Amino acid sequence: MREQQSIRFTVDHLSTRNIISIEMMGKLPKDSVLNEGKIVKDKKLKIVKILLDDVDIKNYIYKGRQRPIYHHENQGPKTTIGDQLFFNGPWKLYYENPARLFLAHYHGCGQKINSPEKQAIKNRYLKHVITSINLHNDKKYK
Amino acid sequence: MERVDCVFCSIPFIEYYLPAAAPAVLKGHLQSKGFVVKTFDFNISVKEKFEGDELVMASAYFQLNRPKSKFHDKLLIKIDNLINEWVDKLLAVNPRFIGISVFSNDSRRACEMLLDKLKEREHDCKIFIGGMGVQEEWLDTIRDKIDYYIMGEGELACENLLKGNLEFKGINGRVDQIKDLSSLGPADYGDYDLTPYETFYQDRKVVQITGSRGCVRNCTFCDINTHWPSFTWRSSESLIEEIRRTYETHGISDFFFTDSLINGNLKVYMNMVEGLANFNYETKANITWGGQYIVRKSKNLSKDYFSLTRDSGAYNLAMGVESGSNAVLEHMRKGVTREDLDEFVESFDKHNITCQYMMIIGYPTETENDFEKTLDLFHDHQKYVASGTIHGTTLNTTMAIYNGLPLEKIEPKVFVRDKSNEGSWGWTSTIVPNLDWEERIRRRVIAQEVCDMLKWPTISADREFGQLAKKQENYALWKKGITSTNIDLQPDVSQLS
Repeated sequence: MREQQSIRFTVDHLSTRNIISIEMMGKLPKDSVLNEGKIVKDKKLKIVKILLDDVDIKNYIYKGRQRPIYHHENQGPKTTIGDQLFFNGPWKLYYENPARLFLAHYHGCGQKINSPEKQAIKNRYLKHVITSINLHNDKKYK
Repeated sequence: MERVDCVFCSIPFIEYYLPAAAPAVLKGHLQSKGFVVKTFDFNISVKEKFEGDELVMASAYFQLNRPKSKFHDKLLIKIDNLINEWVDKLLAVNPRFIGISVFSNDSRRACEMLLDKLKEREHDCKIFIGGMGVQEEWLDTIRDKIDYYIMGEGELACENLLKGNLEFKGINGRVDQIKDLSSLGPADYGDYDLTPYETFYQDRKVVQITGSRGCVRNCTFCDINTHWPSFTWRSSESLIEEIRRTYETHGISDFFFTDSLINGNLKVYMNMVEGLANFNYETKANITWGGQYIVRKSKNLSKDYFSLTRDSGAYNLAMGVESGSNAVLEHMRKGVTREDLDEFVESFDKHNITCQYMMIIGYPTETENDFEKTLDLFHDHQKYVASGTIHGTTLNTTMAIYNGLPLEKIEPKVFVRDKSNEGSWGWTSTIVPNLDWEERIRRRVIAQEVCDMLKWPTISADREFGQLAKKQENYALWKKGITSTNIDLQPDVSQLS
């Protein structure tokens, strides 16, 4: 891959649990050019954008992890987070199908206003309202 | 003991997301004129006292104006004790004046109870009330318990009241709208503990700021223009200066605008976002701000509109979307269409600007087909919830028609009031057959279940359903003829189309 490229593909097999994997391959130590300890030229892979079922996963993308294959032992952490791959090795991102539902749930459950406690209270009163509708109203809720 | 010139308090029910602005705004202005002022947020004391299972019912208790609803004795005793605590706190500062902020109709019940308790106690304080919940038809019920009332903006009226200029227009009447907001003293939240609020911002302190008053639109379901007939605004320079000063002196970088809409005046808005974006670039302060926002037609916006909005720190903008149906939006006089919203939120998504929707279920002209279009909107915009652009939606407690809404004056009439005299469920559409309380609550339940299914976070749904449960309970009693005599379930049917 050179410069910026877009890849579009369709996954026909709709299993629930999925992993998107992007791997940097073929980078050699000589691709990183150093001058007085500073990298002046490098080869890297930057994930600009991932659209999943037409959803720009701009925030969820940071759940992806890379397990870099370093040029030298103890060159860095075992796994890295981020949208840039500086070493060979697979970057993996877990998601579930249907993707929109999974991602909506992911974003929603992180909010204070949508806590499980609040949802439980809401569900209790929602049930109460439905019971009352079906008991007292002419228009029933099915 | 030295006397405080005035103590202001906010009372329930107001949502618990942010400290009530009115006491802090009034305190700030009066202090700039040399008065000693103290503020209390009694609204948040409800959350603090009833946190957990009881909070929904305690909130509903204050929200429901009709005292006929039944609540557990244990809850009523705790509420009674809480109001005694409020009175103790107010009198402990030995004020010359006690100002009670009645934010909306939802605060009237608490106001009545607080006034009763104050009357039982010995003191020589002058009591006055103000806020959007203060309206003529309600004043008669409390007139003997107050010394003064103020209808409309309070800063200048309070200043004159404390000075003893009782002839000032607005004291015991409606004030003239303040034209120069930049001349008012800045709000002072110094008395508030900002930690108990139920904010979207995880563990971050948020203060409110006012950029404008009034609205550039005249939607049928909103009475803002009754309170502020003209749209007035502060200069962007004074706004940025207040934000800068708050950041530099208190380290607070998150702000919430009390405005009916932040982007009402595009010129002032663009100056403000440009100034705040530059402030963020220069200082790395990461200022964020939120508040009520309107959808605008893209053709009217400059090319930098969205990028500067993002860079200035826009966060979780509350957009009055109301409906997914163009027919309903047109009747509401929203001035935008579903297609405008699609374009607008797509730009938010591209520019990493977050927002939430505010909806109205059961508008008097909303047909079943219109309602389905709202459900379609939730489906179509689920992708923005999935991307993190939309934080959620408020579905509200169905369309309420209170006295004074522009909707009342529209001809031909689109609704008639039932004999229940209850603003929320006591009306029936004259346009859409069978659109009454039963139909509205049915649609509200469907909307909830669709949002739950699509994983749309529904803001305040716990408290809304607590309130809906109580309203439905009252409706059932009314329908059975228990709470009123001579019940006529249907309105004058000759007016129905």
